[in-house]
Order: sequence, then structure tokens, then C-alpha cells
Amino acid sequence: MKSQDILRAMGEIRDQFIETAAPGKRKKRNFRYLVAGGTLAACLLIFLSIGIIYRTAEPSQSRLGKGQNQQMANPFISCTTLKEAEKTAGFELLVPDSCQGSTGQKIEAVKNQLIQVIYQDGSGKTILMIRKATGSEDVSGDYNTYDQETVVKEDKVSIRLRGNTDTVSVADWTKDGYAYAIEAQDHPLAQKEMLTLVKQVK
Amino acid sequence: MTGAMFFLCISMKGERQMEDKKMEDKQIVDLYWARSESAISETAVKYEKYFHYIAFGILREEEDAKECVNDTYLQAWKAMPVNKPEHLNTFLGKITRNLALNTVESKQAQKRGSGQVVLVLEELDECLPGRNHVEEEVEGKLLTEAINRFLEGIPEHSRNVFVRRYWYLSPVKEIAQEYGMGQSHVKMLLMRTRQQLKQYLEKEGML
Repeated sequence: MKSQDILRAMGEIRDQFIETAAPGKRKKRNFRYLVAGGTLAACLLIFLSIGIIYRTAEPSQSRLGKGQNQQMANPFISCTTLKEAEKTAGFELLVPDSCQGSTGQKIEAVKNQLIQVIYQDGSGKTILMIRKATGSEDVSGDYNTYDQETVVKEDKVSIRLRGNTDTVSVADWTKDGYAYAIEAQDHPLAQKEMLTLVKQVK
Repeated sequence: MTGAMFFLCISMKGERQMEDKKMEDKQIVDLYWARSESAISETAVKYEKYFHYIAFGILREEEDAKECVNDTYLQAWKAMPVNKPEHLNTFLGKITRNLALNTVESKQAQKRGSGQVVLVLEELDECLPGRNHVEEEVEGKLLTEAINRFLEGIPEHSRNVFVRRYWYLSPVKEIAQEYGMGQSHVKMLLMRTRQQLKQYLEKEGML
């Protein structure tokens, strides 16, 4: 084990620990400024006055920020066909035409990076999502904690399966320089079903 | 208004603000789930400073930090609608931290042998069986769980200082200032906590 492993593992510690230690959460302790109550009240009044003057003089910074950030482009491009998505992403993707309960597909791509196919039911709810992206990083985007996590080897490829009880909610693997993921969070699949699906995605 | 009432009002206002924050996070998450582009701008308005603090703490370069924060929004868009995080700040903060560490690692690797070492290592990876990113992640998760148990068992003050140093990568000087401690005191506390962690990981069979 290297120190890098510990640094990486630290990254996923409990949210509560991260929040409590966040910068600015703890007021600076400087005992020289601990004075009598009257002086403290006076200081508070001064701070409040400065706050009021500042707010009156300055336009809302958050609104300014919001305006600036709204210009940020959405990297996902909606595509009408898989072929169009392949052209945008710069690689091919093979997926099943439909899955159980799906009535339509939503296809999105990120230029030279990623394709995702979302299988939806009649009401537009996601049943299944399949992703393929360049590189080897986990592309599932799923940061949930599951009760079970196993790694299954199929044709020399390690497939990580995560889920609760006896079902699988997410599968991810890498092959030939691409990262793949199948998400079935709302409609988890049996392990056998998920592995059958994995074989169909290329 | 008496002093006590004044402080009570401030405290109640603080609690209300915490509640509002929760609601706002939920609303932002809903925007992601609805695939509304305003989800990104709303996230930026609320948490850009926090993400920048994390990224800059690791990268120490303004341009890289900005790029890392922008990449965080892209990852956020990818991560939702799969996830429904309760704490959007830490959920996305973890992504920012990972992205920043990736950048550092990639820069360090590029420095070695003008990038050729990296390419050669990637090519040679194909000759090696077994360990891939999936297995590494499983091992990483076990290590995280052990660290969580360790952190739970130490005093809150030591835990906060440790997390501040090794999660946020804050400079010792800054930690000392914020916690009203001398720098040598912070270093000593960190050293003791590291030793305790080492002993704990050995006991758990992780080392």
C-alpha cells in the first residue's frame, strides 16, 4: 500500500466528517479579543452596520455570479439516433434496442468523450441507463453505497456488480480503452440478467 | 431586546438557514434530475467557492483549479440523475478532490520522461494480468471503511484537524490559525494521529 492509496481512500470518508472540518466552520480562537459583554455587543453592532452598508453599496454578488455561470454550456448533446451520438463521441456503441418495460430511448453524447442511452417507460421514468466513455475511469456516476459488491470475470474482463439484497443496481467494467456502465437503480436486475445485458453492450 | 433574546434569535435564524440550505440542495438535485441546465449554474452560485477551495488547495494554480471546478459540473451532470445526494456540497466536493488529484498525478507523470514513461507504462499494463481499476476500487473502499471507523473513534478535535489536512489538504499554517493553535502543535497532533492510524490499519490487517 502506498501513501497515495490512503490519500485516495480518505477522499471517500463520511460526509459528516468532511462537513464538520470544512473551512470556516470553526471560528478562529483568539483569546485577546475575548472582552466584556458590553464591548462584544458594540462589536456586533459595528459588524451589522458594515454589513448593511456593504449590502446597500454592492450589487448582489451571487446574482452576478449566477448570470456569469448561466452562460456555461451543457456538455451533453441530445441526439436523435445512436449513429448521431457515435459521430459526436467519436466511437461506436452497441446496445440492445429496448429493455423490459421500456417504450423509448433518450440518447445523449459528450463530444469525444461519452455516449449514454437512457431507456424510459411510458411516463418518461428511467428504467435503465447504459454509458460508454473513453478512458478507464468509473463512468457509472453512481456514488451510492450498496450492501453488496462483487467482481465477476467474464471473458477476461472484470465486471463490478453493486446492489442490495440479491439484485444488481449497477455494473461497470473497462475494455479496450473504454469504460462502460449499466445503471438500473430503480429497477434492479438479477445478476444473471445484468451479465446477459453486459455481454450485449460493446 | 435583551442580549439572551438577541442570541436566541441569531441561533434560530441559523437553524432556519440550515433548513433552507437542505431545501435548496434538494431543489438543485431535482433540477439535475429534470435535466435542466440551470442545475449547473445554481450549483456554481452556491458552491463554486467551496469547490475552488478544494481544487486550489491541491493544485495551487489558479487556471488548473478553475478547470477542475468546471469539470466538477460536468461530472455532476453525469452523476445525476443516477444519484440523489443528500449533501450536495460534500458529494460534489469529493468529485472536485478526485479530479484535482488526477490532475496532479497526470502532471507528475508527464514530467517524468516527457510523457514517454506514461505511454510506455500504459502499453506495458496490457502484459499484466489481474489488477485493474475495478479491483483497485474494491480495495480502496475497504480502506475507506477502515479509515471511517478509525476517525469515528478519535476525539472530534483531532479528527477535524486530520480531515482538514488530509481531505482538504489545507496548509498547516491555515489550520493553526483557524483552530487557534500553534503550528508545532498542529504538526504534533497530526503526527500522533498518523501513528494511531498506522497502528489501527495494522490491527485491521490492512498493512
